[in-house]
Amino acid sequence: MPHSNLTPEPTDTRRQSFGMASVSEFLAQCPPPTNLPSNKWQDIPIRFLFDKDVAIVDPDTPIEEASALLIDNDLSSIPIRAAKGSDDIARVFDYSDLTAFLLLVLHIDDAKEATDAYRKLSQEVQNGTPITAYQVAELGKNKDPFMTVPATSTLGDLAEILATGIRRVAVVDENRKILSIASQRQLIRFLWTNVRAFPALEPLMSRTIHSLDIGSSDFICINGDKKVISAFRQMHETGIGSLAVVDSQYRLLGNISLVDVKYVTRSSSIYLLNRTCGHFLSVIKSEQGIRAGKDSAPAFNVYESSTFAFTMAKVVATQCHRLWLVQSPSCPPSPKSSNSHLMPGSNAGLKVNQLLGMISLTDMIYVILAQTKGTLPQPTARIGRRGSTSSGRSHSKVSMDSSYRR
Amino acid sequence: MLDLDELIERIQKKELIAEVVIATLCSLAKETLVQESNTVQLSTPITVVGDIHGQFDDLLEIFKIGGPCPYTNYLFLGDYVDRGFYSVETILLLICLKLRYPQRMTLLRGNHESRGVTQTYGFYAECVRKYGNANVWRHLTELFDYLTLSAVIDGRLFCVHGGLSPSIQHVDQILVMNRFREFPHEGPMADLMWSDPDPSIQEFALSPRGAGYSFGERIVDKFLHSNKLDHILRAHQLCSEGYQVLFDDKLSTIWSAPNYCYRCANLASILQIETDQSRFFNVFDAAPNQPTLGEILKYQQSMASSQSIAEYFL
Repeated sequence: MPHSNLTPEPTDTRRQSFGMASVSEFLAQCPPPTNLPSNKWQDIPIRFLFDKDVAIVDPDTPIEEASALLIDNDLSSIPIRAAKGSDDIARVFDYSDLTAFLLLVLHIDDAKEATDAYRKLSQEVQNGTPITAYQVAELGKNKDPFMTVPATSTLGDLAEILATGIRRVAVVDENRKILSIASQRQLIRFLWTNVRAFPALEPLMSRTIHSLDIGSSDFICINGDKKVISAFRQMHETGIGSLAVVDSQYRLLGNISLVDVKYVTRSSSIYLLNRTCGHFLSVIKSEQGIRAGKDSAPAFNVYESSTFAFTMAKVVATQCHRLWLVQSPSCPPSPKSSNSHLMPGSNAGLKVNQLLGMISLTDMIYVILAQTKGTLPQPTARIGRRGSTSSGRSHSKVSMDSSYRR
Repeated sequence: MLDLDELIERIQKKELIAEVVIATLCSLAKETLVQESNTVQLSTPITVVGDIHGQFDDLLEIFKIGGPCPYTNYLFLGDYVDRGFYSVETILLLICLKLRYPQRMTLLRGNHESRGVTQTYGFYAECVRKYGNANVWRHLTELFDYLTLSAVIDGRLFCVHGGLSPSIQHVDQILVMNRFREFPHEGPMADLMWSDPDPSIQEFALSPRGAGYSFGERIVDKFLHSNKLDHILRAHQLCSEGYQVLFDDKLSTIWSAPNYCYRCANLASILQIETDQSRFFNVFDAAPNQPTLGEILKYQQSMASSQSIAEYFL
């Protein structure tokens, strides 16, 4: 019997992601915010997203200092000025650059790395010349272009840009001075925190992942037995910022992102590059758990039956950049039955926790925008392979090793 | 026939117990545990213990401080494994004590008593390291499926590893759950193991842990009132002072792993409850014979390749 993606909408309230009678009941816990100028989110001025000061560095800042700033302040990227005192931004330094630099320092020779800049930098490293963040900031691949938007923009203007896959933009005043960074994460956090102020979004909140056909199969997996160094090489070569770590049956164990390079940049932890990805996940999670005083789940995921509200809430609560779509458990087996730790999924051949797709912040913003414009397809029974929803996205990914790709 | 007393002695000396013995222990323990309700009814006097996380020397200290089982009744709130280096010894000792004195020892399930979590946080790796394969891990994680979820002491003190769930307003709802399985990261069973109290909110919010919920004082009030309870006892969160009391003495967190991961320098506690229901947090520090930082680093690097890297980073 051919495998079908047709799963009925769950009617059992115990299966609903919030565990309450309905999403709106959950949302109704908190009173709607009263300090916003509009009940249409797309008209809210962009300054409502501003939170912390922007860290910008001069072009002569050493790589060590820039890395420390990036890591210790939990930043995603640091703009680099064109010159001291200038407001113009020449480059942006981020984790893809740091990773590329690490591979360079380790003499991971890639015949593909033919650029002059790379070879020159490699030579300087060998000579022991001090290296600046500016020099390193052009090593990373597939980086978002540095974009600015005027401070007069609305969240709607911002969403149009972010829905194409751009992760963050700089908000500038009329003199092109950077006032703040506005990112996908900030937008989603704002919208979720204030969701009760925007009644037009409410119908979207109770839609399921399944009915929205959100998310894509456009990601890379790596087996937990592979070495960490090959994970970073893969991310560097493909320009994709995150890998799903899976077992031999494509069950999700966790994920490794470019950001996790911070766990291997001390020379005392370089040995980790030679350990397995599975081991590395332990290191990352253990470290995070000790810092927070609480351990988190091995991976952050949702099911086809999860609501959009639950998905947004989880992204905001965990501060993650993507959620993995996995096969949910079926009805539990009877007590004292099989000694297999695998529970058969409701879909033939699929195992619990098997990886089905990835939901990015881009996907979520795209859906919110589509809902607002009225272009979101109505819920219908979906038959056939899961596909990518965001047909409007221009940010396409490089093709990857097919032995890993799902 | 297993000689539990002899086995207990050997485990206390950290002797490696054969896989076939562990398989037998698990099989026997399942028979005992399967009869327990999802909410076990217990009586004072009783000593309640929080997370242990494989810190076996500290577990032995707990029995010195609180008194040996069976002369003291014990309720353990879960999280026996992961992180510490002696998770195997820890869980085996507790299982043996459960088999030997079933009325004196109650073991709840924590969020770390799970296949997925133990693969990430160290128990799986420890089993493979000590036994060369994953069989012992399989036996023990199957046993975890049988551990009960909650307890009520003297009909007034509700005990669970994590916290409350938006799906559970009445303790009766816990009784009808099927607990004999690996639990997913969503749903009432997961919530009981993963949730945390949060003094900054009043109701429920999704947890930053990626499983379970954060819950506020209003939720605690409702739960206690609906179920005619006085207090919630739970573990699950690191407390630098060994314990924390919240919400006007309506909820307590007990943490029993001192100097967590051999580096956090925190205190730990066990909660001693007398027959008049008075509660005493007995606070203690780490046991002697802790691994040094040097030993830990050496252990972590034991399979490292010897690459010499220039000191380019901090």
